[in-house]
Parts: sequence; C-alpha cells; structure tokens
Amino acid sequence: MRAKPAHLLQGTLEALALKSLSWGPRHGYAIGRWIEELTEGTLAIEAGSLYPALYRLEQKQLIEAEWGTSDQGRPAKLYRLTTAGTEQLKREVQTWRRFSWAIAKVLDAKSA
Amino acid sequence: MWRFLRPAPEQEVRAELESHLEHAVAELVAKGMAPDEARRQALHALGRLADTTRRLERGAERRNRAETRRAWLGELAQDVRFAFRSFRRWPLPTAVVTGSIALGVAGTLAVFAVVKAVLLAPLPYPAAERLVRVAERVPTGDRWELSYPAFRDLRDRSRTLDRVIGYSRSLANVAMGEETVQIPTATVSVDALELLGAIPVAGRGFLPADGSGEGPPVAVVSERLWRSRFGRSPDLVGSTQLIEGTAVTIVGVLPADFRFPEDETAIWLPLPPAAPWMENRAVHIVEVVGRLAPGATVAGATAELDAQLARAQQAEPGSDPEHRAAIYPLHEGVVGAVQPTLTLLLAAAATVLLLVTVNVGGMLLTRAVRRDREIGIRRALGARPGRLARQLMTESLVLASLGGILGLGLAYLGLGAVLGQLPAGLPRLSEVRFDPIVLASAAGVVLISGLLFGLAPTLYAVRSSRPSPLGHVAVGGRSWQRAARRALVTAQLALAQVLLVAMALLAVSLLRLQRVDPGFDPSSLLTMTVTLPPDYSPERVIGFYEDLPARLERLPGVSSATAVSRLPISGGEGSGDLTIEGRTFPPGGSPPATFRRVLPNYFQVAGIPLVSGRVFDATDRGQGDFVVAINESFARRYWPDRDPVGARIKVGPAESEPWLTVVGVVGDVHNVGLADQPGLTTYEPYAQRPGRRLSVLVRAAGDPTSLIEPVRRALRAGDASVPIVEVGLMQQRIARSLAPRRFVMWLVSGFGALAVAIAVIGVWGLARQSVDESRRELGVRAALGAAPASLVRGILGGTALLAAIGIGLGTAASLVVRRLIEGQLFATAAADPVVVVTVGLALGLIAIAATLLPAIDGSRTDPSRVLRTD
Repeated sequence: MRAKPAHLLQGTLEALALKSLSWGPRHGYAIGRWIEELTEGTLAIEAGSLYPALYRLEQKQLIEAEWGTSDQGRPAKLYRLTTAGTEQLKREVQTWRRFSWAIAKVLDAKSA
Repeated sequence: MWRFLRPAPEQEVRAELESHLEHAVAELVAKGMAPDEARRQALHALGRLADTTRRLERGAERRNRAETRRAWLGELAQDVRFAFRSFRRWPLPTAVVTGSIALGVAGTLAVFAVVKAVLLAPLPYPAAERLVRVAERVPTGDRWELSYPAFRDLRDRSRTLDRVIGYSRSLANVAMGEETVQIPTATVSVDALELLGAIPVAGRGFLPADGSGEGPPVAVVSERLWRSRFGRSPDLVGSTQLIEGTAVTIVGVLPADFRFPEDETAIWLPLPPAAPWMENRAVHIVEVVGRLAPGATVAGATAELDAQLARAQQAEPGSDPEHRAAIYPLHEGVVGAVQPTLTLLLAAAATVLLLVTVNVGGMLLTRAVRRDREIGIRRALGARPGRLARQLMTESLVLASLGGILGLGLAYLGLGAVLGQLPAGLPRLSEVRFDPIVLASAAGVVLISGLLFGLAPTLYAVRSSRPSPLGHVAVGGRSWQRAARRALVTAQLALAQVLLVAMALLAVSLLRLQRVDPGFDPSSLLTMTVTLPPDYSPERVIGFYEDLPARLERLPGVSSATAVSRLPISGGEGSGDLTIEGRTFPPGGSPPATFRRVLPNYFQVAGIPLVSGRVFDATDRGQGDFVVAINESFARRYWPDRDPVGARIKVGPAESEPWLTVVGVVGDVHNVGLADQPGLTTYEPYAQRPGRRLSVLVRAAGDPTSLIEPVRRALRAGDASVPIVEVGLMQQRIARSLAPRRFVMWLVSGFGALAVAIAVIGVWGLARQSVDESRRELGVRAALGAAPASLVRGILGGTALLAAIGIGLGTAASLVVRRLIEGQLFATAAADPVVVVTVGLALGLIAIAATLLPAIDGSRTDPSRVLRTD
C-alpha cells in the first residue's frame, strides 16, 4: 500500500537524499525512486519536496550538481556528494541510530 | 566556478522537471504502459504542476541568493588578502599613504569631536531647543541685560514664554578655614534648577520660599565643589558656610555634569526679590533665559517683549526708549563667540584631509600604471573589468581603513593633548568626547575618502586595460593617466596654498598684535587682585589703599607699588552713561567708554605718560571739586583743537552723578585688550569713588616672581582672610590674552605644514614618475649631446607651470573663503596682497625644489644603459 509518510521530520528527506548519493552521482528522479523502492513505497517522495531539499543541500555545499546524461541516456541534472556532504552523512546516520534506538526503547517498554 | 554561472531559476526548474518527467514516463513505458497513459500518470504524480513549479523556483532562488552572497564575501576576503599581499611588495609608499591618511583623519576627527560637542550637540537641558536668551538691543548694536522690573513683567505676564528665569553671576568670597577663596557663583530664580533639569544628588534644590528674601539664606553647591573642597563630606548638606560674609545653609548638591550659566559655576544662590536700587528700569542687571511656549516662536516673543518695553516707556518716560528686544536661542548665547574659530579650524582640518585624499589618489594612480603588466595578464586570464575595479577599490578602502584606524588612535591621544592646551573660556569643553556619532562620522569620512582616492586608479585600470597576454596597455591610457596625475598635483598645490595663506595671515596678525604698544610699561610688573570683605567700612576701605603703596614699597626688591580698579588688557568696556558738558547725545547713544579708578601714583608706576594738566594727588578725595583724567583719544575726539583740562563730564546716570572736572590728559592704554582700540577712557581717584575690589601693581627692581609671597603677606597683614586672586606677571597676562589667537595660529600652522609636506610628496612623486617615463628620451637626447642643464630645465619648467596654475587657483579659492578667517585677523586684510604673493612664491620655490632631485637624477641618465634596455 502506498501511504503518505506520516510526518517526515524536517531535514529527514535531506539525510535520505545524502544517503542515496553515497554510491555515486544520481539525478533527482532516481533519488526519489530509490527511496520509494527501498521502503517498498512506505515513503512516497514528491517532486515538490524533493527538489527544494536538494537545493537546500546545494546551498549548504553538501552536494553539487552538473548537467549530464543519465543511465537511460537522457539529459539530467546529476547531483553528487561533496566532501562536506560525506562528513554530514556520517553524522546524520549516527544521530538517527541513537534517536531511533531511544524512541524504540521508550515505545517498546514493557514495564513502568 | 561554474556554480556561479547558473541559468535563471525558472529555466533551471523547467529543465529539471522535464528531465524528471521523461525518466518517469520511460520507466512506466518500460513496464509496458502505453506512452499516453504513462505520461498522464507521471504528470499526475507531480501534483498541481503550477504549484510544484513555484515551490521549486522559490527554493532555487533562495539558494542562488545565498550563493551570490557567499561568492561576494569570498571575493571580498580574497580582495582584502590580495590587497595586503600587494602592500607587502610596496612597503614604503604604503606606510606614507597610511600615515598621511592617519594624520588627515586624526586632525579632522579631533576638531570635529570638539565642533560636535560645542556647536552641534543640543545644550544638556530639557527642551533645550525651546530655551532662549532674552536681552535688549541698544542703538549701538550691543546687547544689554534686562532690568529687574522688565524681567519681572516678562516672567509674570508673557504668553510666548511659558517659563522665564533670571540670574546673575559673580565670584563669591567663601571662607575655607583660615583662608577665603573666590568661587564662581550664580544667583538664580528659584525655579531655574528645575527648568534646566538639575536633579540634586544630595539634599534638595530651591523651594519657592528660598526666593522670598525673608527665610534663612540657603545655597546649593556643585558635586565638583563638594568633592574638591569638602572631600565629599556627608555633613555638608545642612551645614552653614560663610559666603560673602553671610552664614548660608547648604541645602543640596547638584550633579557634577550640571553646568549653568558657566562651566565653572559651583555655587547657586536663590534670586531674592528686587532690592530698592534694582527697581530702576535703567539698571540692566538680570540675565534672562526663557522657554518658548508650545507653538510660540522667537519672532513672537520678540514682538511681545518689544510691546512690553514700549508700555514701560510710556508709563515711565526717560527709561531707555531706544531699546529693542533681542531674543535668540540659548545655544547661540553659549557658543556664539567661538563658532567662527571652530568653523575655521574644521575647514582647515578638512582641507588637509582633502589634500591627503588627492595625494593618495595620485600615488595609487602611479602604482596602477606600474601594474599595467599584472592587470593586463589578469584581464587576459579572464578577469572581468568589474571584478578588477572592485579589487582596486577594495585596496583603496583597505588603505583608508588602516589609515582611519590609526587616525582614530592618534585623534584619541591628540584630543587629550589639545584639550589640555586650549585657552580657558571655551564653553562646553567638558562635553567633548568620542561618542558613537563622532565615530560614525569618522567611518563615513574614511569611507568617502577611500572611494575618492580609489577613483583615479580604478578608472585608469578599467579604461586602459584590454586583455593582453603581453601585459602592454593602450597608449591612450598612459596619456590620460599623465593628465590626471598632473591635475591631482595641481589640486594639491592649490589646497596647500589655501592653508598657507590662512596660516600666514594668522601669523602676521599675531605678530602685529604682539608689536602693539600697550601704552604702559609691562616689564617687571607683578599684579594681584584683592577684594576687601563687605563688612569693611568705607573709611577702612579708603585707609587700606591709601596706605598700600607705602606698605608695599617698604618690602626689599619693590621699587614702586600702586592699585587700579581693573588691570590693563583685561576688558571692562561699558556702554553709555557718559555725559559731556555742552554736548547732547541721542537717547541711548552715548559713546562706549572704559572706566578705571586709580591711586594717585598709578600713572607714574605704570609708566603712562601725562600729556597735559596734572595727575591726581592726595587732595583728590571727593571733597570740593570732583576730578577726572581722560586719555588722549578721548581728548582728541571731543576737544580736537583745545586742551580739555577744565572741561566737565559725568560718569554714570546723568541725573544722579556729579560733574567731574578734567584735570589731566594721559596717554592711551589698551585697557580692554591689545586687539581693541584704546577708545575713550576715564580715570578717577579711588578716594573719590571707593570700591572694594582693587588690582595691585608692583614694579620689581629684580625678579618679580620672588616678590609674590612677600607682597601677598603684606596685603594680608591686617586681615588674613582677605581673598587674593589673579596673581601673576603683567607680561604673562598680555601673553595669555593672546593665547587663543596663538593657539588657533599654531593649529592652523600645523595643518599648513602638513599640507606642504604632502604637496611636496605629490610634486616629487610626479617628477620622479615623469623622469622614469622619459628616461629613454632623456638618454637619447643626452647621447645626441644635450647638456644636462637643459634637461633639468625642461623638467623644472613643467613643475613651474603646474605650480603657477595650482597656486593661482589656491589664491582664488582663499579669496572665496576669506569670510571664514576675516574675524580672526588683526589689522590684516584677508586678501593682503603681500601675504598672498609671498606665500605663493614660497610654495612655488618649495615645489621646484622638490622637483630638483629627480630632475638632476634624470639628467645623469646613462645613454648606453637606457638604449640597451627595451
């Protein structure tokens, strides 16, 4: 079932986009599709949210973009991580691990 | 770098969304969907296309703005770093530029800090812009204070002034233990302190009852007096002090920064009701300040006071019918006298700064030419002209900022020194400080001068530079640059000429002033002023000074001694109240005169010659005929063809004063000041018109300073509490009377010297540059046999032409601004041709001298070396 993500936290989409670029340059559509397929459609990525998030990452100099050709042989704007972006991704991953561990701890608590 | 060459956001977004759509459609088609259906579904997934597009565009715009800003800051940082690197390769000129900017900024800033505090800042009183001074204008143009009745009428009835206060100032004798000291004191309306916003730091201000003249006498004192004289004793408030011989209760202390009416005023007494003698409308003794009612104007208040004066005249004929209201802002009353001086100083300082700016512009222009190769290469590598211009401007601004910061430091140090040197009497000096407004103006001035001197080199670089890998620049650029450089040097000489003319005029008038014959012999004269206590009987007062010469002449080292009511060169000219038998003056039109009372031996001790008749003797005691001596100017003006001895005059109100018979004519003395014409002077014997204040003159046989203590002791022999002030040498007093002029002269001379130094640097730099540029030509000409002298002459001739033009322009400019300096001069015209021509010739010679060294250097050019290079 394709569910609208409940409340994608501000900045979460940026972290996901960074992760998707950790294997190499990708264009915007591919980033969105990759997330949707990986989460089996749990997270639906809308163009209206994805591209502004990418622009924000560009503004922070975590990614940079260049027009090129996609794997499908079509013109596409390809995004890739900068050194700062790689660093940032590492931090985001750690933060998320601690955060989700903490939330799970609380929500799974069996006794008071 | 490609990141900064983005397309417009809407193009970028459209392309990106198209690519997105194509990829989505391709994926669906690959899964077997019909192309039309695939496109429909992919479009549907994008949501409302217009909304999505707008969101993306907004995001892209925000990112682009941030990137532009970052790029700009990045380039700025790069430019600043670049500027510092290029300064390191150019250390001496950078130091000269920075130093001269610092001096220019420091001078302007220090003077501006004073101008801002004294002239521009509102007075430190509530509703200060509505406070006005109220006085009367007499037909001679002088301002007189109001009479007590006029003050009272205005206070009680005015509709244009919602508050009116009166005051008078004096030096009060205050007993301090054994000693009596004189302290600047003001007697003020009881509501004055509240009107002027003085909130006591201890005790209270005045109550209405304090001004009734009936209760116990009270006073408030300044925190400064409390600190300096009473060691901040908590018991001062409530204590009783002996002021002018009366026991007065101190009821309050006013904050140290409350200053009224003078900066030094330290005691305030409540103004009592008018004493009987003050009820006379011809007695002008109350200084008045009013506050304009909301909506009222100075003109309205003037009309009201005029009407009031006219009514009083009808009710009481004979009292000053020609007087008119004179109402003007209190600010003008406080600082009006120093405004021309400060304006002149500010103009001089600003001229120096302008000169610095022009000079630095010239130096940077020369440097831009030396950098042709560098700039050409950078253009070839793709630097845009705008980028180059920004970088050159950044360099100028960095230089200006460096100089500005240094100048701020200098001004801060210098201001303290200057304030210490200032002649006494400049109002509001305690308010001078570097506040944010002064600092902001400094930053503004630095910025503007940086932009100005950056203009020429930047224009040059942008105009002349075309991409050229060989780094050569179009020849047109060079000739433009040479013309600009010459124009800048000409401007420098013009500005220097303006300052030098001002400096020379001030110096000449000071010299002329110092050569003025004071009319008496000031050498070896010791002076001090004694005020006898008010409880002395007239007999005791007369006894004190009749005995004085003999008492002092007994001291070893004293050759003679005398006394006068007020020392020479000490002001004291009064208007009106002079009656001459057989002459009538229009009402209020009697000539201004100076009045002195003297001991019989005064003329002889002071060295004032007797022209005709006799001097006073011990018999002139006011019994029988009253006598008077007049000065030569007086005699010449009213008795041009006969001896005035025997004529009769009156000093004071004609109806009440007796006739005085002229018994002698004495030489003219500059009693008011060296710069003031002697005018009309009358001398009366002390014994005929006793007074409690007298200034003692002691002629020493040797060193007068060694006599200070013996004379002081002798004067206090009968009464240790007699206050003695103004102790000093007559020659020092004369020097001090010239101190304000000397100060202005030195300050302007400082600016003038700086101006010449900077102009010399400019001329020298230009000469060196033109020698460098024409070295090849000089070499060729030398090889062809031209004499070195003719080469030198050619370069000198160029400078002479510039100097002639610059000095001519400067002379014209100094004529245009002569109004600024006219009031500061003595017996010297602002357009004095001798001064102007001498200064111009001197500056021209200096300019030629500055050219000489580079010119000689150029004439020695070795032809073979020049011909081999290039």
